[in-house]
Amino acid sequence: MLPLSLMRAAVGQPIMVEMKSGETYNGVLLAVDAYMNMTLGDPQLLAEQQVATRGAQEKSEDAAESSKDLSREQPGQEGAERLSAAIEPDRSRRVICASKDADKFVSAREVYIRGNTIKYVRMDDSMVEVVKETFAKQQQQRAAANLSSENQYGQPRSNQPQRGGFRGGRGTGGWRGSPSSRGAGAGSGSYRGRGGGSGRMDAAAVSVVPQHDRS
Amino acid sequence: MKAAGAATGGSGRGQALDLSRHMDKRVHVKLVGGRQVAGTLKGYDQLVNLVLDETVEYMRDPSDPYKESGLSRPLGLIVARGTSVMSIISADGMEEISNPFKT
Repeated sequence: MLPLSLMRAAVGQPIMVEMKSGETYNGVLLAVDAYMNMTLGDPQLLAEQQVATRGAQEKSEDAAESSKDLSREQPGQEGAERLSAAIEPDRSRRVICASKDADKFVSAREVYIRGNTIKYVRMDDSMVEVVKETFAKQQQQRAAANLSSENQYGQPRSNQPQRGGFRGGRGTGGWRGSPSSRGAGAGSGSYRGRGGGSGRMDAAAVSVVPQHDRS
Repeated sequence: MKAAGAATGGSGRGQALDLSRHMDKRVHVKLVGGRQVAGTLKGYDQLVNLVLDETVEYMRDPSDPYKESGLSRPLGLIVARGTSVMSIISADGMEEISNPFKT
C-alpha cells in the first residue's frame, strides 16, 4: 500500500491535514496529485467536476456509464454527511482551517494545499480496506488479462494504460530480484524495453511477465 | 505536466488544482513562514507561482509570528513564488467562525 494510492482512495472522503506550521485543515478531499498537493472543498464540486470532465472527454459515452461512475462516489458523500450530521449541518460542504493553537477558526469553500508543507494527513480507518479491495480487484483483472492473452503480447500492453492507477507493482516487485524472473524478463525483452520509460511502469510490466509464464 | 491540462481539474494525475476557476477572484494565500496575503488572482503557472493584484498583507504580532495583529498593509501587484506558497483559500465564502470542534 503506497501513501499516494491511499490518498487517491480517500478522494471524496473527509480528511484532516496538518501543516508543518501546525495549522490544520478539515474538509472533504477533492483532488490529490503526485506531489501530494491537494484540494479540499465542497463534495458537490467533485461530482460536478467529474461530470464536466467526463462530458468533455467522452461525449459519446452513454448515460448509464456516467451514472455508474457517480454512484461510485456515493460512499464519500455519505461519509461526509455522516460526519456533518454529528457536529454541524453545513459542515460537510466546508473546509475548516484551524490556527496552530486552535484559537482562530476560518471556514472556507475551497482550499488548495501545497504537498511540501504538509506534516501529516488523517483519514477514516476504512480507507485501508478500500485500498485493499481496489488492489485485489486489480490483481484479479490482471490475472484475467494474462489468461485471455496467452500468446498475444499486444494484449497486456493495451491493458496497461487502463491499469494506470495500479500501484501494487511493489508488492510483487520481488520477482524482479529473483533469478527466475530475471530470466523470464530477459526472455521477453520487448517488455523491458517498453516499460523502461518510467520506473513504475517497468516494475509493473516485469511483474506481469513471470505470472504469465507460470500460467 | 502541462499547464493547459490543469484546465479540466481532475484528480490523481496532473494538477490537483484548477486555478482557472479562481482567475480574477479574491484569494487568500498563506505563505511559508506565516505571512498571509489576500489579492485578486491575475495569473499563475504550473509551479503555482501567482500574480496577485491589489494585494493586502495581514500583519502579525511582531512578538508572536503566529498571531495576527489586526493591521494590514497594501502591497499592490505582487508575484508570489510557488515554492513559498503554502495554501490558497478562495475568499468567496470565507469567514471566521467560533470553534466548531468544541464539545
